[in-house]
Amino acid sequence: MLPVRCFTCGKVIANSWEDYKRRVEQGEAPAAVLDDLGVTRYCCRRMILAHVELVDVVAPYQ
Amino acid sequence: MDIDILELSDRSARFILSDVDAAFANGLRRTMLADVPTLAIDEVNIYNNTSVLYDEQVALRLALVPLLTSFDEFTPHEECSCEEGCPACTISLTLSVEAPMGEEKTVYSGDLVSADPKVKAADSNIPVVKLKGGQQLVLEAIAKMGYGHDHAKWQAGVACGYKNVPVINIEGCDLCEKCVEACPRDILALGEESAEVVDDRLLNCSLCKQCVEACGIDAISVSENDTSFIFTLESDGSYSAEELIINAVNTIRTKASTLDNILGEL
Amino acid sequence: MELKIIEKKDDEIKVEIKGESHTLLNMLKHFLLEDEHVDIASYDMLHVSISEPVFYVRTDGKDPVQAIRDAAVKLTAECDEFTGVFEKTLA
Repeated sequence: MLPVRCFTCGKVIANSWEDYKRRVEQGEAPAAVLDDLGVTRYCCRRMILAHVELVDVVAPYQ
Repeated sequence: MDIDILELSDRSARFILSDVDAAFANGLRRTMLADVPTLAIDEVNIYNNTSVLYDEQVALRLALVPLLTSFDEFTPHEECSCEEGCPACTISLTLSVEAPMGEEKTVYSGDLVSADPKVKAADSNIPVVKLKGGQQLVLEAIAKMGYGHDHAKWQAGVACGYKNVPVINIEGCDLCEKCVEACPRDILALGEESAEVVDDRLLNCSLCKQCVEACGIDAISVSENDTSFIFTLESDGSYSAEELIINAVNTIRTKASTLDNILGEL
Repeated sequence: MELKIIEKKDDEIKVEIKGESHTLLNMLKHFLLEDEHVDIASYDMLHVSISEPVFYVRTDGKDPVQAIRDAAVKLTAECDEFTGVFEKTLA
């Protein structure tokens, strides 16, 4: 799961994740999607860009 | 004192504050970041958690969700007369989600059900945890009013900062255009008799002074106005940007008058 | 906020201000230094996160407690001015 807030500035970013993932999978450029979602600072952008989503891999083994 | 609002939306603001001292500007910035109390989940009683995340991780994620707060209706927990939490400083929220067998379901911040309709998650689409078929998350969360200096979950202002208003002087320019090329933010342009600051772009100056370095004849000087500040601030959603500014000033005012009262009793 | 007076003379005071930080104290110091009867106004925090700040004021004979109170009143006035100007700008 993506961290709820940016580690550096504290902006809530988790609510951008699903849109970001869906739109990037549809072929949009990540930079343009982030700008569009209002994630403008580089501290917040790295949270999303550098995130590896593992819930789907781990979730069945609770 | 003079305030010129450049932008004001629900969650962010930009304004010029002039004729004040750096001490007040910095005090305001620090207060917005750490001293305006907000509500955030502080204790979680977990009844059932069969999701992948540990109880602690679920609790942390819930805590970081900003809650809509009414500044006057709650007292910060540490200043409240009660010890264990009372309706004046705490509020209870519940969450109960189960994924049907064979289906996935994401728990969102909007699934939190509050005892007070005015207190709810500022954003209802923050994913808390993704549940696989049959997994369940049932809990009660207690939100408390607290301060940003104790934990980032109580931080009302996000990325609050200011910079001095730039002052650019050009005298004796020989139209060599080097400063125009050097400026990374396209603030300068060549006029008829000398290089000039482009209208409306002065505030974009980052005071990098590359134009001063590029100028061979020292015709340009860049300095800052010590009493004018360009404030930029964002709110996490617990207050609107406007409320945040007002609450921050009120917080400073309360601190100052408390100090005055305590000293008066000596 | 809680005050603990460490030292007090006719023209100087050393007081520990519990629970406060640069936010209030830097502004207070600024307003104290505007007072012409105040010679020295400063504060110290031994450790950023675990110490309580100690505020020190020395005047030319004026009651130091009164000097701090005057500064606090000036700060409240500044806040009131801000609120007034801000609300006027919004209206």
